[in-house]
Amino acid sequence: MARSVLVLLGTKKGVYVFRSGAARERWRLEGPYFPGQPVYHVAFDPRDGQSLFAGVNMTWGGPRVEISRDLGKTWKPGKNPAFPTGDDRTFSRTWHIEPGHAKEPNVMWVGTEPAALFKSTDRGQSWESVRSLNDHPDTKHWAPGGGGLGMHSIVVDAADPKSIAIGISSAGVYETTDGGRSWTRHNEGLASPVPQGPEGDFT
Amino acid sequence: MGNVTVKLHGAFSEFAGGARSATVEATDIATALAGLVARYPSLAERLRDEHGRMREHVNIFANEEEMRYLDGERTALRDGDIVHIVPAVSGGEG
Repeated sequence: MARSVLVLLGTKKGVYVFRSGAARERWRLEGPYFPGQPVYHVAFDPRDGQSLFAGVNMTWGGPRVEISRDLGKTWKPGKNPAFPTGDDRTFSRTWHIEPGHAKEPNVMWVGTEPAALFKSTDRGQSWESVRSLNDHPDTKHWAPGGGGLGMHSIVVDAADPKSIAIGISSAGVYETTDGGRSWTRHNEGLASPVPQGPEGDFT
Repeated sequence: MGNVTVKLHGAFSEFAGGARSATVEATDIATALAGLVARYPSLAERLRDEHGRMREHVNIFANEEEMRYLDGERTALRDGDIVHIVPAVSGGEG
């Protein structure tokens, strides 16, 4: 049984952390961290048991990923995910932050708006564009959902570090089984703005 | 090149270790901002996006005039001038 339980809340007005013991009888509120600043996602890294990551999407100061190495007591921003020079996209929000596989303790992933995937190999201090997905031919069909064109979900297969699935609103689901070198669309049965292939998706 | 004071308003100072102002050598707003960022690198991504464009909701004043109504970042500065960096303020939601 867990020794303690954390509930991490990203809100329009900052990060709140609720902390309780294993029995979950009493809860202690910590925060807000980054008061007044919209936070789309807060993630815990179970691999070190100490790191928290927050996707802070400020209007006037731009987006950033804040990192705590002491479960929220102190925070420092990492370097922003960035689209390469010449790319007409601009990093505008973080939607999802995901620790990598247990066998890759320094790897982190972020999903952004406009929809793109970035990988860190230094525990979130810096990020590289995953060009195989971010420059995928399908990107010309991706269209914003009601909340924008965001990559809102990243799932790392616990049984296989090379297998990752991501979700984009609205583009659908893409999966890699080779660690991110190539991506396959998996929209069978889902509405999607990406045109249907001969044997492919339901649109 | 003159000594220019850059004042950080609102939460901008949080990204400069709590400093509310800095004195830098500058000939125009661009060189003043470059000097500021050299001293406080955490401000770089708060002021500009990854392509170097100034963020939309950052307002920069040369003395008492907003730089958009002057020559933008090429607005010339003289010794003793003050540059203000002010976050946009809006409201009405939540």
